[in-house]
Amino acid sequence: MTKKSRFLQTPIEPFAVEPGLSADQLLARMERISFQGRNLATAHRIWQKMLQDDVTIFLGMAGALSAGGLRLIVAHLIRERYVDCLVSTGANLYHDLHETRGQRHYVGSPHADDAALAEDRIDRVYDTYASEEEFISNDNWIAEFACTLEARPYTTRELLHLLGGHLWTTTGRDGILTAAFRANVPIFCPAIADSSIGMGLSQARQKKAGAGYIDIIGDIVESANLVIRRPRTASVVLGGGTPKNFINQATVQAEFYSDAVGGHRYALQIVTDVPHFGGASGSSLEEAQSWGKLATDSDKVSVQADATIALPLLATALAASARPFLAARRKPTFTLAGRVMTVDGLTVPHERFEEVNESAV
Amino acid sequence: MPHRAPGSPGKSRQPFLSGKPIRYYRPKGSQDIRQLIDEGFQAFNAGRLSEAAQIFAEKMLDPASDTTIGLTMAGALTPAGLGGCVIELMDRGLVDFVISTGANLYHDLHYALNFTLRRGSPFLNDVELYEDGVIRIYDVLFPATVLLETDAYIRAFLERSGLNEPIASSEFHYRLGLDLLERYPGCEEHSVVARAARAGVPVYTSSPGDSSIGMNVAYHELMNGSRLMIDPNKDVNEICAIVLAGRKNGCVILGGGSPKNFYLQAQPTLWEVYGIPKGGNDFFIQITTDQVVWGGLSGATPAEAVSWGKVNPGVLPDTVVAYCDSTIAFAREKLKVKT
Repeated sequence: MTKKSRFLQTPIEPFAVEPGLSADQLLARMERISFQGRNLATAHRIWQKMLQDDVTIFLGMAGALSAGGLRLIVAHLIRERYVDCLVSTGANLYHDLHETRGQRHYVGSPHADDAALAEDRIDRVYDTYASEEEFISNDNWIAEFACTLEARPYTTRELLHLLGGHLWTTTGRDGILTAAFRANVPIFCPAIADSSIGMGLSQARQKKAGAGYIDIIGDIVESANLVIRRPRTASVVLGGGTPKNFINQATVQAEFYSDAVGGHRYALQIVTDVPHFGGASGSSLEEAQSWGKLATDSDKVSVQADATIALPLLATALAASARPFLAARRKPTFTLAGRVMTVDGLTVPHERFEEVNESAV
Repeated sequence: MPHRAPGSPGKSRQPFLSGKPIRYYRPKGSQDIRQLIDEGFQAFNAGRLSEAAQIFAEKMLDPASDTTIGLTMAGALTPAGLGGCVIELMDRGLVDFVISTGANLYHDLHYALNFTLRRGSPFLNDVELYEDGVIRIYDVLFPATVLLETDAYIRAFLERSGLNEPIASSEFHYRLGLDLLERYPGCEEHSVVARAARAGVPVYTSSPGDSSIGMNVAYHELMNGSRLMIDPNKDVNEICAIVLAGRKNGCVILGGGSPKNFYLQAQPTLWEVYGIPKGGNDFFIQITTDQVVWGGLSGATPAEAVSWGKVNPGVLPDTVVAYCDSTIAFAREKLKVKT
């Protein structure tokens, strides 16, 4: 036993407490501890690598992160272009809109008497409360906005860009939708019907025939074409859910049309779900490799953690460590206001894949 | 503004102990359950459970394997009524020794002494329960007097047993079981401890101080000057001897916890301490709700155990972990074995 095993190269460095450590210093120390702490530190490192490489970065967002106080972190990630495209659940965008319109979520308790809350018309999201009457005013606001649109299909990318623009001109406040509008970052919402935004759109249709017409398949075509235009991609997934699948299927769909697409080059997920129940939210990144969603040589890490713990740490650390990389990034540029999206000045056909391949040859 | 029904009226105080009594369920097995496990349980954790039943019934019980089988129990299984499954296993010679948390054996005594635990709800107000003298284990309820009277029985047993020296937990539980059989005839139908004494199945606990049994042994020493103590060294050596004597070794691990480690450490004790290479476990079945990602032992995989020499590296196909609550998985697996 005198020869040192090749497995024993890097010792664990017990974490030394020191007052006033910054988040990036904290994560640097956590690289040498274990379990999910080390995974979070690895996530920090991988995100930095993404920013230094020439990749389009997708951010997926599921779980009640906006209601849970993380919406300005996501807005910051969009504004500073830590990410290039957001895929979100409808609820996260809705709760973002709720606060951008000047309303709040409130600190509550997970042990609340729900019957008493119902009497006061308070809705509970685990330990967070919000006013149902304010929600109803949001729904009406969304419906009124949707009635101003043309009676034609809109992709969620186009609709959410216009919604962000309307929100910005009426409120001038920072948020996910407004930051994405101002930074020209596309947002896709594959399950938009499954949220109060969808409910608001359905109200619009009551008021005006043909309003609230969403072209959800157009989203698939556009997201796949986005990958075809820029085949090197990365995915950052918070929570899993439909956004995780949507980001992954974009590369699978794109692969049918372009040999340059080979799955995400980087993948980072922060999830509380686990692989052994078989669902997609908890599925391992290795499993995604079998589908070609991830390149087999991709840099990847799965952090098993609640995003309310992991994301503030990670985003604060990146704010200190990633600044030089952000300035040097070759970011994709989009036009999002029209029916046809462009990436780096080239149109992304919203109906056919072939056109883009012809122009790519 | 849409309207909806007003909230429900304030809750009235409920009679907490009105639920059905919890009895030890005794699985009998049937063709239906066999078909469910073989044909119905096909993927994910149902699939793992099906594999576990197959490994147990076809490999561990194969006479050619001559497997010495250890069962470990952690988590509140006897309060949930799963003691009946353990009784059936012992009755049919499907388990050779048991390692349990102290709590599972302590709560088993309630059934032996004919005290009643009842079905309840996990959503009750615990302050009200406290005021009413009702104890809660998730959704199992019983009066605090059950604890007091069970403790009184243990202390009376300790005094009349005359035990006055360090002994193995297996001997302690055997003597306890004999006392139950003598004083409460028929209790072996409702008690793992009593049935184990009758069936000659050694029962160990890896943490003798960490339960109400240990609390009363401590009282006996302090107040009566007794020299009785549970000697963990005897347990470690006895379990090593049982594992060493087995031609093949296999285990069914429920939950994890310290019983899981206490069972698995026997192999390293043999090769690392005594210099006897036994080769690791040949079969490994675990049913747990813990996960591998937090780094703890309860959720650790059989593959990780291979690196420690706890599991034979050649037999990983004969290991399985089903991520499931034992209250769901355990009774069902035993049912399959019965048929």
